[in-house]
Amino acid sequence: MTKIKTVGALIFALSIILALLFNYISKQNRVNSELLNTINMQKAFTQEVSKNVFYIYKNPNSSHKELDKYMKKFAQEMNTRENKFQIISSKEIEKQNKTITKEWNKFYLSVQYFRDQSKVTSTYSTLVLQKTVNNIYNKNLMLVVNLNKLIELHQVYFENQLQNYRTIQYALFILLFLLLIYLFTQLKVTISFIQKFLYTSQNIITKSTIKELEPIEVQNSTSDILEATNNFNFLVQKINSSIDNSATSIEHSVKSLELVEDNIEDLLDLVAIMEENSEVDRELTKREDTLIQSLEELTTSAQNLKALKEALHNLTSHSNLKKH
Amino acid sequence: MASISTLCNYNKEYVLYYEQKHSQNLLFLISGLAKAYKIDKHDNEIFLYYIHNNSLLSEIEDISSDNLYSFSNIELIEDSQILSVNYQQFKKYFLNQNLLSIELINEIVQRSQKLQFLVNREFIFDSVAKVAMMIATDLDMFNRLKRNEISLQLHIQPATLSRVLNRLKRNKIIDIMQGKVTIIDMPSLKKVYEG
Repeated sequence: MTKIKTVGALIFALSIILALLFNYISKQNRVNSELLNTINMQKAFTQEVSKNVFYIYKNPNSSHKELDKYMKKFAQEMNTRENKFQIISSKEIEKQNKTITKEWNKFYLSVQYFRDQSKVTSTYSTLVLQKTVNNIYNKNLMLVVNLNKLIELHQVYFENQLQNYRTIQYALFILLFLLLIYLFTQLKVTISFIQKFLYTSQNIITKSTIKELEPIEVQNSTSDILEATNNFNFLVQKINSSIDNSATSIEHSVKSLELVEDNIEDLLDLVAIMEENSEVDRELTKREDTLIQSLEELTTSAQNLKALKEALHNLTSHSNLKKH
Repeated sequence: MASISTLCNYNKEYVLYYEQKHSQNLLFLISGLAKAYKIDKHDNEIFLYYIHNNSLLSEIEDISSDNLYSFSNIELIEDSQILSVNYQQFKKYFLNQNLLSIELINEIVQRSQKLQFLVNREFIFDSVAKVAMMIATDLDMFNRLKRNEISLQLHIQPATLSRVLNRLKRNKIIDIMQGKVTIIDMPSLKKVYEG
């Protein structure tokens, strides 16, 4: 029984661990999606910034509003991204993040230059602007390449993590399965014992008889079940032996009664002989009637006892059959 | 009465009533013979009494009820003719009009006497008194039945019946010729069970 309790507790604990693991993996999936989403958004923002720079370069009188908007959005994503990447413990990703931050700072600086230079009009401004725009273009390319690299690194990191969790999950599942099989084999014996016990108890209750009361046979059972089986079988044995003893006592009583009957019959014969040789004696007749009645009651009692013995014999038919 | 009654003929061994069952017909034995008995838990038949011709067969347990309840099993032991009366109609047209009431009471009193005999036989009398009473009150039946059947009806052992008959014969109260009993001294026979 202790084994079953321990296995039950282990199954319970394993189930909880598996549930927590499932929950954690699903959380990781969500975080991964969010991170990928952030990186892709940043990629899109740098592209937008670059597009705006080209547009302003080509149309000097156009507004800087769009440019400012995407710059601001990129910066915001940079701030929130730091928090999101904190849960990832990969040096490569950390290094790549730092690279991207540096690249972004350079890119940002170049865009700021462009903003300042686009406001100044001089003989060389066109050349200077062209150089800055080229610079922004290159830096944007670098930034996109680095962001793509970050995505790749993150995917690899996430796949590895997922693989580890899957391995743990499979291991836990196998362990749970093995424990369940073990528990089932243990319970099978217990359930078999309980079913036999219940069947016997139900038989005794419904039929109000202990007829066919059989000892329970169990195989390969635990010590607890063996003990319970032995106790039950001991009880059955006690009941059967008590009934056997009662039957023996009844048999002795019947023999004694038969002896008394013989004696009374002799006495009755004597009374009959006495009466044949004399006048009807009222007192003697009364005693003869009493003797007849006593003999009647003794015979009836002996018959009842025999019937009782037969009934007891039928009750213990199972043990009697085994003896034969 | 004819409109609410039917007259039926039954062969012997037909069971008219089973104990603890309800019926709506009042049965009257016109000719033949029936016996009332119960069954104990070991399926043994416990004989109660005989019902002779011109006697009520049904048992009335509750006069206010329209149903009849059978206390015992009633089986015919001779081919019999029975009058079956719808009890509800009988109550309506006769008992409630104070017709045939005295006759019905008389039948109930006779049933009560049978039960008094039964009490005496089972609780008061010893074996000798049981046999003496049966010979004195129903000699025909005593001679018709086998010794084994008599001992079953009186709930005594066959050996005891034999001893009692010997005792009565020795005391010159009865005589037994070819297995048939004749009464020699009726006062002495009655004295055996009346005391």
